Order: sequence, then structure tokens, then C-alpha cells
Amino acid sequence: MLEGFTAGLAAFSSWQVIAGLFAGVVVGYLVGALPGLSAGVGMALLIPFTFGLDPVVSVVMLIAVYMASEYSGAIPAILVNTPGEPSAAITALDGYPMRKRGEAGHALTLSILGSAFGSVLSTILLIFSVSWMTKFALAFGPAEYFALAVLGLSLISTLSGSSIIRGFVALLFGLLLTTIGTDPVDGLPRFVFDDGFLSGVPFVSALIGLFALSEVLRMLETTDEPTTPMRDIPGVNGQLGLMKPHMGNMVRSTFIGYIVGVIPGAGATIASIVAYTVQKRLSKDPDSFGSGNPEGVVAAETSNNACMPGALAPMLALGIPGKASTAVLIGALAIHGVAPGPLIFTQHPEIPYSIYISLLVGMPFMVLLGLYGTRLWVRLTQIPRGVIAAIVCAVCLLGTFSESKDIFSIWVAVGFGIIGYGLSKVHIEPAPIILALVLGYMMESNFRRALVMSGDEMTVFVSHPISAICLAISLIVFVLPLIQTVRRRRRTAVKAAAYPGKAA
Amino acid sequence: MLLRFISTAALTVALIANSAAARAEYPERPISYILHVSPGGATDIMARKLATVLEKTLGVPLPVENKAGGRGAAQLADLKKAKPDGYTIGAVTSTHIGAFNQTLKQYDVDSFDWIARLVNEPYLVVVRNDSKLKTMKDLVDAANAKPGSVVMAGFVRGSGGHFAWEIMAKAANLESNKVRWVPFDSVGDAVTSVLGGHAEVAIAYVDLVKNHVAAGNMRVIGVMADERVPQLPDAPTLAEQGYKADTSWQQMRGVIGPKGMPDSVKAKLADAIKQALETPDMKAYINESSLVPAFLGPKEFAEYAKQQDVLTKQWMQSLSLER
Repeated sequence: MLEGFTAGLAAFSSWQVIAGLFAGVVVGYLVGALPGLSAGVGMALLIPFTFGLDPVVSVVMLIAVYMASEYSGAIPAILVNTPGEPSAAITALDGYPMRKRGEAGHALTLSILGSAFGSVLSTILLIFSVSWMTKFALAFGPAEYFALAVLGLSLISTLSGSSIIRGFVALLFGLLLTTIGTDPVDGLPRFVFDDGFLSGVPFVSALIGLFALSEVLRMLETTDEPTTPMRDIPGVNGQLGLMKPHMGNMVRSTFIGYIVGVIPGAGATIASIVAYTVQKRLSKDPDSFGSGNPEGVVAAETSNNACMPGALAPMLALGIPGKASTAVLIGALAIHGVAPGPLIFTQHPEIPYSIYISLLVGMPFMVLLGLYGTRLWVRLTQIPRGVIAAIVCAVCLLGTFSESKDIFSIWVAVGFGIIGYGLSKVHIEPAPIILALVLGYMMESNFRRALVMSGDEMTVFVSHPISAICLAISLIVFVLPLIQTVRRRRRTAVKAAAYPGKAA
Repeated sequence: MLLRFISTAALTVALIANSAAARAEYPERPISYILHVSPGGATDIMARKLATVLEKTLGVPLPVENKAGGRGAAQLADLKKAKPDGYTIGAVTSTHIGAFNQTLKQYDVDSFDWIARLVNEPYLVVVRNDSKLKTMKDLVDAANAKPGSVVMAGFVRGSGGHFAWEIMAKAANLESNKVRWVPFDSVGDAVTSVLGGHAEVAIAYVDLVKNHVAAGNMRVIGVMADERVPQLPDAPTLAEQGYKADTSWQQMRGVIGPKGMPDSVKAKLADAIKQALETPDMKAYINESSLVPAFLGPKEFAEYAKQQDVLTKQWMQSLSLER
């Protein structure tokens, strides 16, 4: 390991590597903050520029983009309820209500510091556990993925705010949407009325419509409302001090993010929602989650950034791209004749170690940019709402278009904007819909795959240990809140019976 | 009279020269190169690499556009709409021909002009190193002994890899449904499931497995090609094991354009592509990615595509995958 670090450090002695790191962080901030432009696409756009570069420089630059964009998705999520990256949808749940209270600076500070903590601790976990983690990553077959998706969906009860029924309505609506598209087993088109739906409902369009455009419509109701007063942001030392009460939360969320990240295909959204749920259960004040509890912001942001080094484990050690961004990294390395996989640590040790070093060295730069930038970005909240609405609308529609280069996706986004606005009028949150869109395909395709594998033998889901554990946890998570609700009702009913006069 | 003759002749010469000049001028503006995949994958990177080399040969920029979605639907819709003037071209793979017969029935091989084939990729049969299956015969025997006991992972039903397995099974006189074909979202996912021990066998490509083979995690029990693959010298071909499968069935990558492009334009593009494939840069990349150079010009490529289409139709019918 020491030799690897020496090789990595030696690669860092050239100014090109340092320049690549800084350029990557700046580009990553932009890519992450622009809704629709995801980390994977942003990295892929840089690939042609890496043709002429040294492999270490190009991988360091791409890693920096990946790292920074995973964080900066939180900035628009907090400021305008527009997740820059899908996982920031969970950050928006509490980040946006905080900003409405005038605590945008506070929320932004928590998000950058939580992200940095998650990223650094998770990188350290990666360095020491990369080879063990491959076994864990490979343990996930169709039955296990199905169970994991069910577990993710069962966490819905924490996202649905006050009413579990409304959460279910949103979840089922989302699952219904995932039936649109090409059938995962036979390749048959289902409910496809336009070629644009052949690969399912365009996810980015739905995300932008449900969150950003529906928020724009709500802003239009009250354009003349005065802007929220802004609370002062403490100095940088004070900003760092804000993290003190959240240490336990950050450590927990980092471990959750890292482990979920290792599972190929699971991704930052699941990590965020698991960490968010765990924090809500452990919190002294669970009822304020969803209406601006800082713990929610910290849990979501820490875990989604911790997820990223986790995703590098199967990519480096097995050559398995768990998601779009790591697939791009593999492609960028292939150009230089470097193939991630079981041989990379012996044949090209400088690549994994320069990745580790850039994650650690790039972080302080990213944090400084974030802490000082916070002072700048919060000013956005002082712009009149009408102007903000127009800018958000334009940036979002441009974002959806740039993702697919298809005008159809813009109409889908507008459609979802209207749906989201309508749903908000009956107090149905968009987060469960997004969760269903992320997990629905994973659940269905792996359910059917597992059954094809076993010859339609349903017992595979309980005979595989990981799958059985996930299903058991989801059953508990699912049933517990129901029992609590029933008990509470019974207690109130008993009270009402005891004091008939006071019953209302 | 003489004067008139001279002036007519001069005019004719000038006209010919002019039209020749006009033709020689292609290309005079950027050529868009539309892909059916999202950025970052193997097909995307090879296309981008090719585009940078072609820019030098043709002297105009070749912006690469990614139109992923619907197994090529978005890309093909754009190609269909474009003018057949050589300023819009697209990437093609065997998957397209499969889709013409399955999900994208509005198109067929005649809907586009076939410009050049670039490379081929043979199909492999791989298992995890601790598997009991050591040869193709072991696989066939195991399937015959206990139908359904062998689980095979690959890309969707009706894909090139799926047909490759059907072709192999036919050559081995094995009813293919004695092996359970499990469709994954990508060939890479199928390889991962074999590594994890969830499926026993996968149909894969050299590039996806060569490092796992070198590291001793995987074994190749059959190569569907005429000769052994340089990167995997120990892996026997199917023919060596006595199975005569059609080795012309391989995963192909090529370039197509809208229907009705002038022959001269197609020839110019094909020539430039042929030259590009010969550059040291491209050669190194093709070798590194374990691809087999397999250039075909417009005429031969169109014939090849038709032939693959006929084969695809036959398999779709016999597997009742036709819709």
C-alpha cells in the first residue's frame, strides 16, 4: 500500500495534475448545480479533452468533477427546491424549508461540511477496505437487488410527511409510471405512445418537473411577496462550529453511504434516503423532519457524498461500473489503455492511488469554495420571486433539453410540473414519486430475472440470506409506523371515551 | 463556326471542371456523427476517437451527438429526418438489426445507407473459475442431464448474444431451452452475475472478461470465431471442440447514413474511415479494446447487413420472438 501511495504522490508532483484537480472541482460545481446536467454527462463531455492528457491527469480531473458535482447538487436544492442531482431531492426536503425561514446560509454550510466529512471518511474507508468490499458487491444478484429495492420503497413512510396514505398514493403513482417503457425481460414496448417513452419516462424531466417547475408555478401565485429576510452567516470558524451537534449523524451517514455505494447500481439516492430515515428514527425531534430540520440536510448530504468513494470500490477492483459516472471513468481510462479491474493494483498502481490522493487533496479546496461561495449564493434569495421563477424555469428547461437533446423531454417536464403543482394542492409530496421512479425498474426487472433464474421458484427471495434480511427489515420498517398510528388512535379513542365532553 | 465550337468546348470543359470541383469539395462543412448510446461507454469512446482521426483526414469537424434512448429509436429518428448529403452520419451495431425486427419495426435494413463496417467482436462462453464446466461438452452434458440446471446470463432476449447462444446450441444438437437464458440490462451486468456466482455461464466479449481471466477469476470455455483470440491464447474455439457454429455471427460496429446518399460521398467517407482505421492511434485502441478490425466498404457492408437481417428474421421466427 505504501508503494502505491508513493507512486500516486510521484504522479502528483506535476503541475498538470494539480491544475486538472482545480479545473475539475470548478467544472464539477457548475455541472452539479445545473439541473439536468448530471455528473455522468458532465464527465463524459470532458472526455474528448482528455485524449491528449496523461492518464493520471485525466482521471484526477474527472474524479474532481465527480466529487464536486455530487456536492453542488445541493445548492439549487436548498435555494430554489431544484435538485441539481437526483440524490439532492432528499436534501431539498429539509433544506428548502430552512431557506424559506431565512436560514439558507446555515443549510448551505451544513451541506458543504457534511459532504466534505462524508467524502473524506468514506475515502479512508475505501483505501482500507477496497479488496474486501468486492465480495460484498458481488453478493448482489437479482434476488438481492429486488429485496434492496423493496427495502428502499418501504422507507416511504419517512418521506410522506404527516399522512402515510398520501405517501402511498404518490408511491403507487410513481410505480405506475415505471411500467411505461421497454419490458426488461422480453424487450416488448409497454404503454409507449411516443418513441420518447421507449426507454421509460425520462427521469431527469420528471425530477425537474415535479420539483422545480411545480415550485415555479407556486412562486407565481405570490410574486409580489417580499423576499425572506436573511439571517447572517457566521465567519468561517463559526461555520465550522455549526457541525458540532451533528458528529454522530455524520459518522453514521458516512457508513451508510459508503456501504450502499459499494453495491453496483444502488446509488446516491438510496444512500440519502436510508441515512435520512435512520436519522429521523434516532432524532429527538422526528416530527420536524420535512419542515426544515438541519439533521435531515446533514444526513442526506453526508451520505450521498460518502456514496461516491464507495462506488469506486467495485469499479477499481472489478471493473464494474455501478453507475453512469463510474462507467465514464472506465471509458476515460480505456482510452489510455488502462483497464480497471483485478489487475489495476499491480499493473497501474498509480491510478487508484492518485484517485485516493485527489479525493483527499481536492477536498479542502472544494470546502473553501463552498464556504466562501455560500455568502455569494445566498444572495440569490434576495432576488424578487418573479425574476427567480423565470430564471429557474429557463435553466431547468435548458437542462432537460441538454440531457436528452430531444424537445419531447421538455414537454414531459412541463407535464410533470403541472402534475406536481396539482399534487401539492392536495398535499402530496413529490419525493415518493421520485423514489418509485428510481427503484421501480430495479424492483421489477430483478424480480422477473430472479424468477427466470430459479424457474419460477418464489422461495429464492427468502432462501438467499441478504435478500431475506432486506425483506425482513422492510417488513419491520413498513409495519412499525402503522402499529404506532393504530395505538395512538386507540389511546385518543380511550381518552375520548373517558372524557366525552372534551371529544371533538 | 470555329469560334463557336471553341467557346462551346470551353464552356463544356468549364462546366465539367466546375461540377468535378463541386464534387471534390465534399466535405465543406461539419459532419454530425449521431450515436445511439449515452456518453462514456465503449461504443461512444470508439466513435469519438474515430471522429478525431476523421477530422484530420477529411479536414472538417465531426461533432459527435449522443442520442441515447429506446435502443436506437432517438438516433434513427434523427438520421431518417436528415438530408442524405453526407453531412449527417450515424453509428450502427448488430443491436440495430435486432431492433429493426423487434421494437423498431418502422425501419428495416433498407431504410438507411450502409457506409462502412469498422470492427467485429466475437462471442465467448465464460464461467467462473470454480465452475465444474471446463469445456463446451461439459455444458451440453450438464444441460442434457438436468434441463434447467444451467443458468446462462446475457443481454435481452433477441439480442446478438442470445442468438449466438442459439446458434451454438443448434451446432451442439442441444435444445436451447434446456439452459435458462436470463436477460440482463447489459452484457457487463451478465459478466458480473457470473463473477458473483448468481449465474453459471455468460455469453460475453473479450474486452469484458480478459482481465478477470488473467487474474484467474474466470475461464473461457468457448470462442465463437475461426481462430483463437490473441488476448486469450488458452481459450479454445468452438470448432476445435467439434462444434461447427456459424462464426460470421459476431457483434459488429459500423457507420450508416440517411437513405439516398450519392455514391461518391459514400465512397469518400468509406475511404477516409479505412485510412483512419489504419492510423497507429486507432490501431492501438482497437487492439487494446480486443476488437477485430473488419473494414467493409459501402457495397459489401450493405450486403452483409442484408444477410445478417435474414439470419435475424429466421431466429426471431424460430424462437417465436417475432411481433
